[in-house]
Amino acid sequence: MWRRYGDAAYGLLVLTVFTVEVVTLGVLTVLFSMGLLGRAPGAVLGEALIGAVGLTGLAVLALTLYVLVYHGLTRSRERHQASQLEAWTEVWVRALYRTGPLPPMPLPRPGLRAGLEMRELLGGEDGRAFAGLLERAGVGDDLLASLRSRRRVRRLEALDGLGWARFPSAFNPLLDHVRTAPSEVERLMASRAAARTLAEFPVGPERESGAAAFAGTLARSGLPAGAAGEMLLLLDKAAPPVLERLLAIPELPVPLLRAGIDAIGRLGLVDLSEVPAGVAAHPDPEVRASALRAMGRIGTLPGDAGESVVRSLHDDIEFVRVQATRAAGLLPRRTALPALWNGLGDPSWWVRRASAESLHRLGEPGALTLRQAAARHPDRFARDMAAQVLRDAAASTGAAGGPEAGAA
Amino acid sequence: MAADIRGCELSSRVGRPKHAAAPLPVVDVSRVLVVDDDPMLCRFLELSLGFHGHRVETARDYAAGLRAALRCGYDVLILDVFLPGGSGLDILRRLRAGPGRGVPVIVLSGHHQEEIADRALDAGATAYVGKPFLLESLVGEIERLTREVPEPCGDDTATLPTASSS
Repeated sequence: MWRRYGDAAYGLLVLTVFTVEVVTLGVLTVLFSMGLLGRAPGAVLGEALIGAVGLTGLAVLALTLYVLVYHGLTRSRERHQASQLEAWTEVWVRALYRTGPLPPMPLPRPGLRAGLEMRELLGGEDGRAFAGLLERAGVGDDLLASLRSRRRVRRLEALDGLGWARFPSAFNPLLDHVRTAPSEVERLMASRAAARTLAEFPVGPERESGAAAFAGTLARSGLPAGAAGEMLLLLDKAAPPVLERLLAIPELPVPLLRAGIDAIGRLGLVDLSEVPAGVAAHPDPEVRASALRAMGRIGTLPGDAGESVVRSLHDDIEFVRVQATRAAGLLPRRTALPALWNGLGDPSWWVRRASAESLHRLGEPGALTLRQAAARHPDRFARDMAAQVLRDAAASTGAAGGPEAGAA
Repeated sequence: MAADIRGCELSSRVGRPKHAAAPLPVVDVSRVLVVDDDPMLCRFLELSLGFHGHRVETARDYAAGLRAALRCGYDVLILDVFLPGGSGLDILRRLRAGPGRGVPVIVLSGHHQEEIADRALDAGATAYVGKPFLLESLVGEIERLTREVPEPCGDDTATLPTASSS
């Protein structure tokens, strides 16, 4: 808040100084022009010049003083805020160890911030125990009350605080906010807070019902795919039950489907590997690419997913072929090596590069294929790419070895 | 473990603590240096480790942290990786290259990346703890490290050549 007002005041001061200087220079210009025409006496010109120089000096002094005072006050305020944060941390730690009382509500801003930062710092059972302490102090009720405020800033601050606090009791009110908030920013922040809160639920019926509610709310939230993807990653260990329910919704919008498939890959959810395999032939190329990327990230191909990968190596869309080439490394050797050999001759540079890198990751059989390709592949660009990847691999091995490798 | 951590509200394995306001029993008093730019974290560790009987000092930036670390007055160091003015790993390397070869050092970082953990251990960290952490685990780690007899900081007599008698 201080910086916002301070910066606004600085802007106003600069504008004033510029205005004064422009007017001064204008007056000088007029007077000197009159002087050239012999209509202004020299003394008047001299006085005007001295006045202009004096005003400029005062303006520079004002700006310099303002900058110095601003920085001095800012540092002083930061030190004050840091000392308040330390003092409030002591209050919370003493409350935690029961050598001091719970602070009374309402909490000043530093008190709330110290409490929420401590909640963020402590993990696992420690964190949940501290969250219980914060709830007993009334922080949860206070934040939920702020969620109903008419002022948007207060609602956003409450959502931010609830995201840090992760009170189980706030989960359902947060989902309500996702459903009813008119602005996308508030729905986004409420979703984020709800996801972080659900991630803290222990395994059990409460988490299952929470997962079902979250999946349904996310599907109807209207959030963009990237935001939905972020929420799924924030769920952490609670992601699998949410993803199972989300991806089972009939006619799920394609952006949400992509976000769900991506999350399966990023989180390495082997138990859900059938899901991307099931959409590897989806009409939407971005879904196909997401599915292949997810399978590549998970590191295993379930069931007959291998056939989907092989088909996708001939997809019309370049970025689908790229992802298929990366996933092709998971195929059985007798299928992967010839498929990647062919991929080296793809018209797309990206597919050629992915093929060469996939071969390199296959260990000695892949390296042998690369060396053969560099020497004998019928496509010139394929020979070049194979040779390039071999050179890059040799260079990075040499760089990783370094002098220590020589000494060893 | 001598410290009755179960008396502390931090663990949910017990219900209400039996002696709510009684001070925690003092275990081996260790001198701990915490180097971190987060004032809340420094104060939190100072107090909570203090409740477990450890003497804690803090440094908030690279320069102050380096000076304190090289003074060799501590049994355990807790270093953050990213500090104003430099890197906690650089403090660690200089400590290991100088008088603090055997001092246990716990690197504490909010960045959950294997690469940072690997770099910390390569630089000579004794342990790596990511944030958020379990306080009980951190206290346990400190007490384990201080129970093992480390090479005293600054004691180079074992490696100095003895005077030749001839």
